[in-house]
Amino acid sequence: MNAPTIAILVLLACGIFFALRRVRKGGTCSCGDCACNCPGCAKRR
Amino acid sequence: MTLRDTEIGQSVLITAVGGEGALRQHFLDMGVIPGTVVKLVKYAPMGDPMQLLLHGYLLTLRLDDAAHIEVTTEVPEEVEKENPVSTLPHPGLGEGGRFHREDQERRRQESLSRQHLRQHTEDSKQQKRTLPLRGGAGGGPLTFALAGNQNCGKTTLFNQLTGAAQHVGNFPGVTVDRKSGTIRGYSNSEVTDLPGIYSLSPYTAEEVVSRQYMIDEHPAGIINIVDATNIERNLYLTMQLMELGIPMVLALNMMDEMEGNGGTILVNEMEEALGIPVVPIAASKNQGVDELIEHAVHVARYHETPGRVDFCDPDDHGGAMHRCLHAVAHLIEDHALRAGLPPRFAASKLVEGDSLVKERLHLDANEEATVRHILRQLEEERGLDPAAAIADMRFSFIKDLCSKCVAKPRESKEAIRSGRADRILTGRWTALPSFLAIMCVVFYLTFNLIGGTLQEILADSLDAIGELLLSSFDSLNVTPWVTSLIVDGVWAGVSSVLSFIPIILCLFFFLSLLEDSGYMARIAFVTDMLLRKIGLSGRSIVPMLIGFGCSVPSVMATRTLPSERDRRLTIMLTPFMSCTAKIAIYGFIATPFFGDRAWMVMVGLYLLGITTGVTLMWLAKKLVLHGEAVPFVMELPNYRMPGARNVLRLLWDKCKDFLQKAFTVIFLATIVVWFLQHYDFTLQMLGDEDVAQSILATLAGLVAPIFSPLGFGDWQATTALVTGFIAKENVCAVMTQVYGGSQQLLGIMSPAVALTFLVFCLLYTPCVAAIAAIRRELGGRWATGIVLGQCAIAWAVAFLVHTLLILIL
Repeated sequence: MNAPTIAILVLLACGIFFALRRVRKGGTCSCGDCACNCPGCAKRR
Repeated sequence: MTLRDTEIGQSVLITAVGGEGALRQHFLDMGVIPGTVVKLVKYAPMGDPMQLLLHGYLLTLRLDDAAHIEVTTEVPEEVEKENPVSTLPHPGLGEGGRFHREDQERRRQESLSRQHLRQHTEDSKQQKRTLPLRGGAGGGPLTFALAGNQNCGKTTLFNQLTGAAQHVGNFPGVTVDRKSGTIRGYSNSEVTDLPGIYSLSPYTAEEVVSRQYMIDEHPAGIINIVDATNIERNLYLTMQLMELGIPMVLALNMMDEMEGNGGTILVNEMEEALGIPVVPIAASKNQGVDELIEHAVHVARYHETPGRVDFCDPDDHGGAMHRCLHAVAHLIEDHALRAGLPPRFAASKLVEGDSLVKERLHLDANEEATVRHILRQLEEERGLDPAAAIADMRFSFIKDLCSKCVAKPRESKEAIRSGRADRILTGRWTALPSFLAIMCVVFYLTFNLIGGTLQEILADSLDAIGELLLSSFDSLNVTPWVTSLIVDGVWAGVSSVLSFIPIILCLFFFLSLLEDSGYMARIAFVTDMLLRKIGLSGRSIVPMLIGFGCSVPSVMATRTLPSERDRRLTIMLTPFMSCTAKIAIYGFIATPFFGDRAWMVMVGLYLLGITTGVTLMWLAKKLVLHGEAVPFVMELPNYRMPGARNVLRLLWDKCKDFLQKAFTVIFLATIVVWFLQHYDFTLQMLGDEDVAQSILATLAGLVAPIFSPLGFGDWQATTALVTGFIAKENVCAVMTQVYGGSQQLLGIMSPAVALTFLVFCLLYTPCVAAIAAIRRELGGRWATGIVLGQCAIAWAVAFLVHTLLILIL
């Protein structure tokens, strides 16, 4: 693997990490309002 | 004679209000009380419900409910009074500077009755706040409740108060929106936007949640916003809020409209009469909002409670109501304090027959008997039941206040304009055609003229970026599998979804325009009779129309429906209202197969969804969920141009959320699918020609035979449908990955199969977010039943469509 490939993979890994974190913390609601009780939404009460 | 027997254009005087429970209380709260003059304006196109004019606003009422209200045609002549003139200097309530005196503040604290002081001292011990100063250096954050009727500009004011610093959550225990935010300029503050309510009665979730918030969470202050152009009905809630004894400010909104129509409100006089700061504002123009904030912060910080909580007149009808309320208040004072309730509020609610307050007070048998005797005495003296007597007391106070403080405008321009528009939009022969025409225009603009055009431009740009990525990776000698993962997997999948942003935003724009302009309420009025045929009321049309945007807020919006049965039926119906996420699928498949006529296919799909849903509801009503729809009592606000800021804020929120979903859920899903598609069970990477041996193909192949009778029994389509369970947009992303793009479908599916696939996508299970919302409302069993039921219905209807198309074509 050359340097550009490694760089792309590192960026991809970061993207996956932040996406997983976002999904876990919330913000995947399809309505924009976290009263929707989407799974994993941290703003649910 | 009853209200039902009234003729169009006739004015009548209400003599008695029948009915019971929530319906009757709602009548009273909306001002339908003995002694009120009501005029019948028109009937809905199908003859029911009726539209009435009372207290200067429009109310809808079903004929069956109107039959409970007795009236007489002997209407007293209205004596034209001169408009009052301001003579008082400004009382200066809630102000600092020359109006704020420390010695007055000390006297105010000392003059707080023992029960208030004890209650607030207990609050302080629990919440570690100090009196009298709240906020800043003196204590905890300044919390405010923003309360008011529906359609009074509350959301607009909330947006002005908080700007972008707001977030949305839930009230505990119920799925009612709780919007909170920080007041601009006051970082140590929080304002909570309570649901729009007409009263603090215990009958709807919104009302219960609002009063629980104010009693149990002890906000430092209340900002009560009223519509100045409809002040009589709005002040009904104001009086109940004042009884809570919480520092309060009254914001008179839409003063620009009031004054534009030649009317005005004597603010000094009103402030003196009510004993709370009164601030005229025009929230849509951000006028007076700074002054309102200053007053609210001041009363909260210095704990300046309302100057009066007592609205009963000792001379009215021999003082019957006055004696009743004071007697009950003294009797239950100790119980109220122990229960954490303001005594005056508790007494009023007990007299109204509020079961929640009664339960909380824990009166003993002797005290309950005493209360019953007091109420019987009230009935005998007053000639009205207690609930009607209290409503009459409040409206009498309001009428007297308005005669002294409100300079009546000539008929408002907004009302005249609304009347003219309603001649067509709610006219007997024009209402339904207008509604259908408006919806057709909305869909045409969304899918074709505006949304469709912008989508093409965006799609071309995204394709160009994909090409650029490919050529860049090639020139950098990036490893081929990484190129495939990024370009053919992630970018192809995510961009196929992103291109639908213009259409989705377009649809949300039009839906919010319909709602904020006041037309949604008219749609409910016009469609009530139709919806009753499937066991629902006109109110259900609002969640149904919202369902065209997204099923999740649509399911949540069913919370506004007063009956459990109506909510259940409406929730079952909502997934058949094709949401914006499915637009991505329709466009992805319909465009290559049907070209310029793709929009007709999409409209046809929408109509099919509605027809299927309505048919099933009719069957459900007949076979399973028996019963009649609940009473339909609803205000019809004047038409208003929605504020551009509000609409743009909504669109930005939707766009942000959509982008978030694209770069999280869909991004992850495309990576997972790419991996499953390019590797077999021994984790060997496969070439393009060996994809059928991949993990994905093998797993999907187990389920694929189910779809063979529908014409798309291959693992690729099955995989796409399964991933659509997570998010509907995934169907496009996955189909792009497994088929290679929408144009490639032309060589794989016939138009008939494509249409069948679309029908299946229209009707099968909603996404996991919608299912979670349904589960929250109806429970796990109902949610599972809806998922399985919808899949079965989707299969059946798709099979029927496929068979018909095969026969025809």
